[in-house]
Amino acid sequence: MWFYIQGILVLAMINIIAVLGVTVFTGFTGLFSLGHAAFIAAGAYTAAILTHFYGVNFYLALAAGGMMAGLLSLVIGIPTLRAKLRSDYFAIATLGFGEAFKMILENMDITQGARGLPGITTYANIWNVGIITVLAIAVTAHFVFSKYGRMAVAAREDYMAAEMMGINLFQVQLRSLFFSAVLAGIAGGLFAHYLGFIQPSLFTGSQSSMLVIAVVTGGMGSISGPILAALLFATIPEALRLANMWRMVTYGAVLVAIMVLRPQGILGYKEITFRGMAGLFRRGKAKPAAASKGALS
Amino acid sequence: MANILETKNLTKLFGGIVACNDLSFNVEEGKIKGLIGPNGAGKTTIFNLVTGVYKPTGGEIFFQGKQIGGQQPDRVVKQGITRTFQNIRLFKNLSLLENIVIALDLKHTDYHIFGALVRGLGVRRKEKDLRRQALEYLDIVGLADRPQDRADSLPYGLQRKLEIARALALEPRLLLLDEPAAGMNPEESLGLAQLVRKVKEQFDLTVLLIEHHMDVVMELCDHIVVMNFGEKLAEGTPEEIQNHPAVLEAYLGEDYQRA
Amino acid sequence: MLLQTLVTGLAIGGIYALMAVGYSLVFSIMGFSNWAYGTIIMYGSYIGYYSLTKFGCPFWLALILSMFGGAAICVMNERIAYAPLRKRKAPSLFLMISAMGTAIFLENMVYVMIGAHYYSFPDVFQNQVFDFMGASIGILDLFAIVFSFTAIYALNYFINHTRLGIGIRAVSYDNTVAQINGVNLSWTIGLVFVLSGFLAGISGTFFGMKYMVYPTMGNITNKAFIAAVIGGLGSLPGAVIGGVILGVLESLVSVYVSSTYRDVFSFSFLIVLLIFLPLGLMGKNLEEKV
Repeated sequence: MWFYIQGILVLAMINIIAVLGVTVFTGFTGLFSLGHAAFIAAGAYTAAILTHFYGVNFYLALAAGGMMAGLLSLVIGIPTLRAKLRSDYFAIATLGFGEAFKMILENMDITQGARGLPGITTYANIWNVGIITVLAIAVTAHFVFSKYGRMAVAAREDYMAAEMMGINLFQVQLRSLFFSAVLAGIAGGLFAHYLGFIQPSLFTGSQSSMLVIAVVTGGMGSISGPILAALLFATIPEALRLANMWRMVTYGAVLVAIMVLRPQGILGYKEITFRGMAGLFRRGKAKPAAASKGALS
Repeated sequence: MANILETKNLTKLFGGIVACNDLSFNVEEGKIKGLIGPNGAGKTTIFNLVTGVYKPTGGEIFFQGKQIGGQQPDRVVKQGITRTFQNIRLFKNLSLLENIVIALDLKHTDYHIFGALVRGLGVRRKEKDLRRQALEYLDIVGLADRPQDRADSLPYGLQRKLEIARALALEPRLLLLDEPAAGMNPEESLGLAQLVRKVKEQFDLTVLLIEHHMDVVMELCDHIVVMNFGEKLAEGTPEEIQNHPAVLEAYLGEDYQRA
Repeated sequence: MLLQTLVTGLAIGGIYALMAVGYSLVFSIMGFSNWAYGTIIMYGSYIGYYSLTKFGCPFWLALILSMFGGAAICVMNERIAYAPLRKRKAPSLFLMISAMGTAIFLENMVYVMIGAHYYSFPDVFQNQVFDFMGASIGILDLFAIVFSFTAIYALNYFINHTRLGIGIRAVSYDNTVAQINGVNLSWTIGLVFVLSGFLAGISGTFFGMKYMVYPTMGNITNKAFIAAVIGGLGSLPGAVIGGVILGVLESLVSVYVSSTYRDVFSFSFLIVLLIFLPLGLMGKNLEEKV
């Protein structure tokens, strides 16, 4: 029983690491990406190839996977962000990129194509994944509560006003993208070394969508919200023994319901702090402000 | 005194529409200059051209002697020009304090990305300092008592003041104010004019002001430029402008006789 | 060989054109990309398939059923998932997310209700071909080309020469002014989605006939989008041209380069276009509704 729960927790935490990245990119910077699975894949394959074929130390391989994903994000990010595409064009571009990358993986020799890479040593366990997850949460929180987070939020809230604050939109967006890609890459590396086997068909547009769904459901502009949402998505279907198909049907319906009924998601702009919890019950008074509340205590 | 801002034959076309036509004027350093004209005259277009929101179709813009026409807005801001917007572009969902802190980040927050991610003592101290400084700016405009409130919870007049405080936190040399007194009653307008004069002295600024409230314009401005249909109509001291026939005609029509 | 490739390209291009026009219609009026459109095309395909097989309808009836089925789903989609957001003037990001949710919902409904099998349409046209200057054209392809262009021509006539159509154009320029002039916004938008749904149904059926019917056909939205971008988002004639160009280019790449890389090519082409020529060939610069 414990083994079963462990399994769910490990996968949930790996998912959380990737969700944290998308939280920064979509939730805080306001850019919609449907191709983050490509970064997860890049991290997974890089780390796996390094440990499997070259005997590299696991943690170094993880870092390399993260870096590779980051570099990949620059390849797609620099041209598309420079072009200042509107949000749906950009989203389609990321979707196309994700699909194209998957196809490239299916046709490369080093990745062993569509057959996949079996026999990866399962270095990842609940302890190192847990520690890395905590670190990832800390790093994400530090990013968000620093000037870099503020610049991203400003860019999301009102890009023209942000430019008038001396903020370079391109730099800010690219930085967020890089950060999110590195986290996704690390999540990918952990994924590969937990599963022991990877193949391109694991890294689909659906997976990318799920990351975005977690962020939107949890609340754009919140860190704890998406984490909570990711945990809920990982655990509730298991608890209800929902078959995989119905899970996705529910997610789709939930997404529409959230947009129509409560677009700020579960936690909206708030974080799980004691002040925040009190805010859920308060009525009538001037609402507490958004974003970095925790840092001002 | 030198000219802190100068435009030479500045022209902006939107397809067939001439928003700005061969406009040349300058702003002397340390003065308050007014930019007035009927609606649609092209005043905000000038602000947009100077701050890099639009690229000039022709002509040049000099700031402190350097050509800035066509530069990206964030670069213009870094060189020392800031502005407020006609429609108020505060970060509505963020608090008063955060609005100012974002502006302070430009010149004051000197830590780098790795420092930010580790968030050591230096970074934490700097963050505290930023908030203290931000409160000072809020205090200047009289908004220091509720720094955590949402920016859009403020009444209109106070939102304008917040926007000014935010523009000041960027430590400009030249401040562009786009209709700061819009929607204010005479008493509020007077208060605003006093505020502008106060901050101008305190921070040693030059101010270029678009305004329709003539009492504010006449009270504050050392010199005025009048525009209509994208062109310069007249330029001079407040007294000269008040009696200028072309200006009267533009505002009041041909048949108006000055009483 | 070249002629054959071109003809094949033209046939698939006609289907892409139908999809691109349906997609562009909604984009022009609502100012956002209907991510769920591909799944509606997929539903059109399934409706056509089941009409032909389970209910034994003649082909023309199956086509009509898929048209109306597509229209019904499209309008319901709009009423449930988009209208509340539109009325609230929500940012287009929210509309996109709602569309995404709809797409996921619809696609997976098919998985649970019907299953992931790939289905083959019965041979309506008995696989006939006829020869034309050394190239053979399937009757199916010919029919698809002719029907596609006829449908588009009819739509164009409707938009430009009927009162309802002019209402649609008015809304695409400025919906407040259109309303002041007596255009019922909700009905007009509903009408746009109906038309879009018609096209989805038809193109879905043809696509299914030409290839196969399966739940992830929704990914075809990407092709519709690419075609619309080539022609210029917001331009209906552009969507047609874009569809044809995409079909022909894909065909050429398939034959002369490699068929595996056909989709990589399409996506890369899309990204390059979005960066260097975002207005496509005939597009209007539509301000994002921020």
